[in-house]
Amino acid sequence: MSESLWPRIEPLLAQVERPSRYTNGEYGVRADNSAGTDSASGTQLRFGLCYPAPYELGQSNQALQILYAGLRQLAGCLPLRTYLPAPDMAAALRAHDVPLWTLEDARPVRDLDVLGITLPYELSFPAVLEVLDLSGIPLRAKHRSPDDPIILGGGPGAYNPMPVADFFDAFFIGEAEAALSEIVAALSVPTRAKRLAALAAVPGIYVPSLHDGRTVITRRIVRDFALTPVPACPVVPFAETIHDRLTIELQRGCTRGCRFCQAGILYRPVRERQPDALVTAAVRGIQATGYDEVSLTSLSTSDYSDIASVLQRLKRRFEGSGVAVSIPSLRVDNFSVDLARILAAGGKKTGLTFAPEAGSQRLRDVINKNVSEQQLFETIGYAQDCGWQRVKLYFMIGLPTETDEDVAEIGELCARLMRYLRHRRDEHGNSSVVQLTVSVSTFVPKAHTPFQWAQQLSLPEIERRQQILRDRVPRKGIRLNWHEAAESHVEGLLARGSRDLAPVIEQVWRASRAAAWPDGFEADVWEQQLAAGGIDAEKLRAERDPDAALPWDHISTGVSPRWLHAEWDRARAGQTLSDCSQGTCSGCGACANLEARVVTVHER
Amino acid sequence: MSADFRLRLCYAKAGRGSYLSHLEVLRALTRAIRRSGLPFAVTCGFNPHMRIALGPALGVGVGSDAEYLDVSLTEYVPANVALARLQAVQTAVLPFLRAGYVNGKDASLNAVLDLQRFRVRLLTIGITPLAGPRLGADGADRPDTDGDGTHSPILPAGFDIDVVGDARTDEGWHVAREGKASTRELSAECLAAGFAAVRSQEALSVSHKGKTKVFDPRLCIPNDVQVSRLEDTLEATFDLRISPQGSLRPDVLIQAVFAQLQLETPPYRLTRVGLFMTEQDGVRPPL
Repeated sequence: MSESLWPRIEPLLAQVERPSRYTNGEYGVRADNSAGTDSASGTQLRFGLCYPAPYELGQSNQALQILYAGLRQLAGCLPLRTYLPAPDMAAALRAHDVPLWTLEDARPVRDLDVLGITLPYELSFPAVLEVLDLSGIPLRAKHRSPDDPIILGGGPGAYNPMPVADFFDAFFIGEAEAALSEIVAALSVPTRAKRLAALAAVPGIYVPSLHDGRTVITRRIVRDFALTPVPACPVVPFAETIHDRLTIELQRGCTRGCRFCQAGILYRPVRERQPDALVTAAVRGIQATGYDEVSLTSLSTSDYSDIASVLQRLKRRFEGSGVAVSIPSLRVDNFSVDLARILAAGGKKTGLTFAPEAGSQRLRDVINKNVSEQQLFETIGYAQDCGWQRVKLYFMIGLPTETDEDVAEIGELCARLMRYLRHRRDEHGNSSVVQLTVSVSTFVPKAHTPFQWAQQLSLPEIERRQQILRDRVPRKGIRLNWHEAAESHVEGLLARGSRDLAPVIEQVWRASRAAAWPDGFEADVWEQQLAAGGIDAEKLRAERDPDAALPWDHISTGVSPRWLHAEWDRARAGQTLSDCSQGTCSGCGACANLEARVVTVHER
Repeated sequence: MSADFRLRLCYAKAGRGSYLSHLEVLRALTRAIRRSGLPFAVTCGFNPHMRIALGPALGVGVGSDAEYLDVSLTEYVPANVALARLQAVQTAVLPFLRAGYVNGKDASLNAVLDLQRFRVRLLTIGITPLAGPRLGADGADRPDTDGDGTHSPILPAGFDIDVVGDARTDEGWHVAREGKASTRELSAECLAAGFAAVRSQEALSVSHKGKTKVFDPRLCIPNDVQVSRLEDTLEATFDLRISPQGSLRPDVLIQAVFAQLQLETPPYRLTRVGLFMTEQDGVRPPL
């Protein structure tokens, strides 16, 4: 076992920004795996968990917290965290020849048995290479020696693993907390080759080097999620993280069925936890961590069938203690008067966000966003009545079948909304009109969604449509934001790409180490390397033949391809589909294939 | 307004805790108090938060043996009980050391604390002369006395300049020989002289973010600086006044001392070892 790197790391801390990201020692990190403890733990499986982004993002990632808590409960297993160092620290590490280390014990990442890297989205791929390189681990699985750790991918980016398949030894497809003990058991054999073979035998694990090209790897899920205890998220960071609060996962899955949404497929079916368990977990979690805010998270929190009661109970429990309760991910059609009142009472009205996604009813039907303009107006009207001053609306451009009229309609909708809100202010005697922020992103077709066959627009065409929108959104009272279209463009190419993108990803990382950093995207570097790598971007963007093979055909989410085809047909016919958690099953196949079922507390 | 019991806590920024920023310390302490379950008071108002006040901020990288905070409780909890509860839920790098009640009407920590004591430990005492032409204490060019291509560093005014650069031992510089390589080391006397020289200046101007501030070191550094030789390093303990108009920063003082010695500032570890309030009969810690 190698020695602690701490004596070599500490002198670098004076040179870098926010050193507390690198020190470990946060409350909740176990003393028995803190740096300095000796090789008494040498027989333990050293299981690294990495989020390929800086500490501030990684430490607040809920998935990794769940896995960290789960691994701590397994005997013979030592979970260790590592994140992407900031550019100043990365440069210092290279200059002083110090390898990347795991926070808890300050030992080299290279000395782990396994390093689990979550892939939050496609543009984080260069960051994975940066982590491997800083660790001194060969980038490609085939170049790794018997002593190198097994690099195990997971998260949303693993559902089309092909662009990064060369860099990983294995991928876990699905909710990994369902299989932690199986993974740990598979890794308890002596050699790297045997470990890989054992991993390949675990359902839900894809080992590219041992795969026959045909066998379908099906997503694993926590079948009884609704009954599982809410995991305590034990580590309370020093450095301010992006979600610096206690998070309680109310439910998993969303079956609203928005056709562009990958999460809607990857986490089905809906599984609601019991209200009592949630309230208890929130109260205990605040006691155990000392946070002053608890966030009730899920893909669509206001869909939780007992949300008003849970919220009311938590508000009452935390009254007078300075603890705020927040709920992200609201939907326009069920943000009720009740909910608005409970949230508004005595709390910070921090701004509400809704996502109508498209401007015209026709296009909202195509994408199956079952929200009407009237619902949107009334909801924001309620919010204004209750005293909210800021509302953010998300829209997308470049959706399948979108016309110039649909784009212009986003602007018209905003104009009508502002007129409505001004009128409502006068009528209801509201003190002011809500300030509207309109945030517009570009549609990215994602694997495993009904839109996986859809065309991705070219960059010039996106820019042309953005201009239409810019001309039509009223200026007064509205702030217009854009998500970088060039970034979405590359994200889309990677999302539906295959193995031939691996050299491009590697060259982008070599050309610009900044590409690993969350805001380090450089469009021209990607463009050059895509061209140099002989990638036909036109072909990648084009509408796909529904009968042709896709690079991710050997990965199954449990949703049947036939259902996806039917959805793609319904989309183009403008036919909507209702939410299966509200009654009618449309036969997507997830429940049958995964032996799961929809679990809700009350009828939705 | 309910009853207000003002509990004063002393805590340390120990080991890796020195890398926390003031804001991070505040957040970590607030969370510890919340975990302890003590009946802390909450501010009235739209965005209620814990009624807590910290003493003067420390920079990132600076440790401390004794920092203070006041937190208002709504019920009386014996100080030793409160301390035990806090210690049970705190991380090792921000340990709570002492607790005691103070009069709720007393002025705040930041209003009463007017003196801080620092200890600086040099991590290396090998010396690197500053680049560029060297001037003697008298303002004259210094010759390259030892022929190694560098100008020898000089001592502050008042020190015998001839002791510099001699290959044998002298009271100013100490040269250790190890095989062929020779390393110069800084002596305790020289470091003390550097501090004394800065202390005797009438003005020390400090530029920070484009603004220049002038301090009077004679007022800012009220007491003699203690320098001692440890096994293989030097340690200096010095006092700095805390003033509402702005306090001289310890790192700035250290920089100034080494600039005076015309040496590169070596890496060092800085610790605040005490915070004091001045009373009629002298200074005392706030708890």
